[in-house]
Amino acid sequence: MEDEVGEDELELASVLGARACFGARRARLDIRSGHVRKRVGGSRRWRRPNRQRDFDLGALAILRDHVGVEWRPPVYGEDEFSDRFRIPRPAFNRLFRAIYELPFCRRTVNATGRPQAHAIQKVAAALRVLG
Amino acid sequence: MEFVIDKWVSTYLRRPMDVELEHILTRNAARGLPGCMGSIDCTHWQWHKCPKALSGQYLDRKGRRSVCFETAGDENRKTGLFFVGCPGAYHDMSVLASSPLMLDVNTGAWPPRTNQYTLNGRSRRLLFYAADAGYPRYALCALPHPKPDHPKLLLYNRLEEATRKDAERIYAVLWSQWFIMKYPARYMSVLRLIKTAKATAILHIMAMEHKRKGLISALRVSAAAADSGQRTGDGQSAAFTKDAGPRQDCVWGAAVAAATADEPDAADDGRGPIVGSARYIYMAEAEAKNTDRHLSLHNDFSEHV
Repeated sequence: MEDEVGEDELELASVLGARACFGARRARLDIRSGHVRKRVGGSRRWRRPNRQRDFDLGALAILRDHVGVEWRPPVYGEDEFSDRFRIPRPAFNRLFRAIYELPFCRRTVNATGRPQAHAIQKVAAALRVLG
Repeated sequence: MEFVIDKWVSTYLRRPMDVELEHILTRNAARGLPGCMGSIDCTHWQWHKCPKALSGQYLDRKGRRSVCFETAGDENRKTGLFFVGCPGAYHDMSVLASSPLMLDVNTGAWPPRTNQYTLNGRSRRLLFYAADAGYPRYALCALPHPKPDHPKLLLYNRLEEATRKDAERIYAVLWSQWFIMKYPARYMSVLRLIKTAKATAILHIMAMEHKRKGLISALRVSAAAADSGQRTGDGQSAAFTKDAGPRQDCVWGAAVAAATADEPDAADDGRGPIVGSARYIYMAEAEAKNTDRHLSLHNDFSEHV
């Protein structure tokens, strides 16, 4: 899991690249079809502004609390871990390792053009719903 | 969730294998019910967002919409059968009739007939589940005696009740551990309910396995120890013995997978019906659902205890 935090710059670069690609492709398609896209909802004037959610910070918080980053021990121990997630740490690790390479858990770009939640955030959220 | 189910459903929500089954049989014989392969029960999970169109079907006996699920488990809260998604109007009996367990029982694929146990001087081969009074009078289910008018019967009821509580414990632990099972479900479709319940059960067993370090391996080791002790000791005190072979006109055989059931059994030399044949299936169903056998099971148990 520590590797993931180290790959942040790489991910940010890929996210920016993907964003540029999507934008260019959309503009190209619009020009070719010759229609003006009508904006439905989303971010424009007089609408609620997009929240600057920091998913990286959230993932880092989970890692800090339950796994431990930068050689520091985790904030919460084993008991609190199984209280939060309802399964002990080895089971969580096993689940995470099996799940985090799925297309659903891969980091994507959301509608505001920013990176979405980490895999660990998604797994933690799913377990929080269940337990 | 789908991923969890796809990946681990065959590992965690499956029938006990032979070694585990032997362990369960040994344990249950020590608890007073030889030949009992776990307990079976149903419960309801209330469905908050039941669509209007389905509300009649899913109306349970307490006047709420709910989904029924059936569980067969053993002493270690390890579920051998987890069947979710029956309409809440179903009772224990009808849930059992519609469950995949009954399909296998009808074809003779389950329970395996290779274990023989002795009750009151009679040897039996059909294993049974400890069930509560809502279940049909099949030879497959050991119900409590409806009118125990004898101390022996009272004692039998007591023992049966103690074994039957295994399934109840599964529900209690599942609810206290996973709150989504405790509160009314807020899904619109039955499919998502089923998925959630299955994923929860799988995660629960997974967590349990990690909490008690090496539970499964410990089970296997103890079962092997019990088995070897049985071989060395005298045959009389053993809870059950491995059956030597089929006799004339009887249902016999290990648990058969659906794929192999279609092939004719080459080793069978006409002593019994061929495993998987229509006659075999007919006999297996008749044997598992025999009421006389069920009643004689009661009698034998009352004499046995």
